[in-house]
Amino acid sequence: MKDFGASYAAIRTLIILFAASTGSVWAGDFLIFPSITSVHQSQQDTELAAKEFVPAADFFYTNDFNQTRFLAEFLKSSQEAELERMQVGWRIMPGKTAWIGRFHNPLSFWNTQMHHGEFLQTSLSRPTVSNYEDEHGPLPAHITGLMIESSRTAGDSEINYTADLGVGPTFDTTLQPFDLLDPHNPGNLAASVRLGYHPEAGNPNQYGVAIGYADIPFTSTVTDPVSNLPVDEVEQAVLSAFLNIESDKFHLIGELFILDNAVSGTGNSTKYTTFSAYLQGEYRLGESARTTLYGRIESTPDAAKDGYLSLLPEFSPHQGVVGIRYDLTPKQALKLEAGKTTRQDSLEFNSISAQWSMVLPL
Amino acid sequence: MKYIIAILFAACVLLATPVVHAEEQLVAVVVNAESGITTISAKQVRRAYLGASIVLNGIEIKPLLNETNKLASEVFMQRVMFMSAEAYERQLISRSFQGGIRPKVYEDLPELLSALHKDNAAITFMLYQTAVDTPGIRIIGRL
Repeated sequence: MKDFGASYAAIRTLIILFAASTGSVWAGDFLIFPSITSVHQSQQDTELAAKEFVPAADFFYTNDFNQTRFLAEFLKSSQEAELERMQVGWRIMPGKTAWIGRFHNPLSFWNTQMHHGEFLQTSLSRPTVSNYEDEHGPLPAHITGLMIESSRTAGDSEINYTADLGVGPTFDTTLQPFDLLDPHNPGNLAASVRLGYHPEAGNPNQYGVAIGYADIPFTSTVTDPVSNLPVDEVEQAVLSAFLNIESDKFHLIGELFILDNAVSGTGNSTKYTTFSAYLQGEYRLGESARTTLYGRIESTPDAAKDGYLSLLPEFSPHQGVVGIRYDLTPKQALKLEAGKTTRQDSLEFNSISAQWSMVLPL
Repeated sequence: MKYIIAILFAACVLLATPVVHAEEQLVAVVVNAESGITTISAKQVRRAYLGASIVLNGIEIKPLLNETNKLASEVFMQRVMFMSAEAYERQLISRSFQGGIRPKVYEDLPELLSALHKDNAAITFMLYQTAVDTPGIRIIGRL
């Protein structure tokens, strides 16, 4: 994000909406997710050293105006300022909404559930395959265009689907999503469809599958490290499956992705297929359930053989974390996490991280 | 002997007298008297308050969250939502963050009743006796 003037204008707008949200037609949900994250790693490079201490705040506003719904999310941290989401929705009929704007790509379940609301996710870190574009995530986390969300109950259960079509990211050194505050350099076509099944409507337990496609143009020609051929585009097709099982004490969340990356340049094209998966388990201690123990394992075994993933040096094909979360109050949490990571550029390190996060208003 | 009988009698009376705890209170789900919604089940109430789209008698219901009475809220969370108020609030925040609709909160009873009277799709909950004593509303569920 280069245009900080536009970013601050966005913050001002959200603060005005917050001030107005105490009454009148502007009364909606205004939430702020502040967090402070500190990371210490056994091996550091320039990029890692810069991530040692990161204060951040995620501003979120949503409101209904009859059949129309407005939603905006803006992130400001010591490292970036970005308009994460800006969507206007129209409720076509009960349970069905059409959205236009920039939204989360439903291809990754984790991405749509947590995104930048650090307080909402139990763990401190995210699965590397669901990382944001600018943090060497391999999948488009944002799409700008049209999205349809629909849900239908059948007996006790609910089936929901989300389908979207729009503009995806470009690629320079990482993926770069279309920026509404700096709308130059748009990407090409991106689309995804997700189908979810809730055994009990309204309950968070859910299983589902998703498919996605993105045509990602490169801003300059680079060399595929695997084939050594010049490339300027990747066509990415993804098939994924997810599960989310919750009870009073346990929570299990996992996803499996099969990635098909067709990397091409002038007169050449190479296709790589690999899979990536993660599984996170959580256990809440005691009656009050204020303390949660968690662990996550994730793997992309053939990442080094994939020419596209090899262009993302900070992508982590192997990572394991264990951690503890303690809820100081119902809206404030402390997390401590230890991890072992192997990155795509072969850097291996252990890490220990701490985070304070909360949601406002209290 | 008379005293012993009197004490035993008093003890029996005390044991037979029902003591009303929070968990023994009943909650009524109500609409305005003009609403076309006739009945609702506990499951439907729970789903609606968790953000699922529930259509009754051709009307998509709009749940209003009653925080005007602490006991009514507690009973509702225990008997209908099966979770603490904190856990429910966290689910609502998560739901809202994902683009879902969150029930509007009312901390003032006249405001809550006014909102209920203005919208035939609106439902809310209150202690059963409060519902019986409040004119202009109709009970569609007793939970």
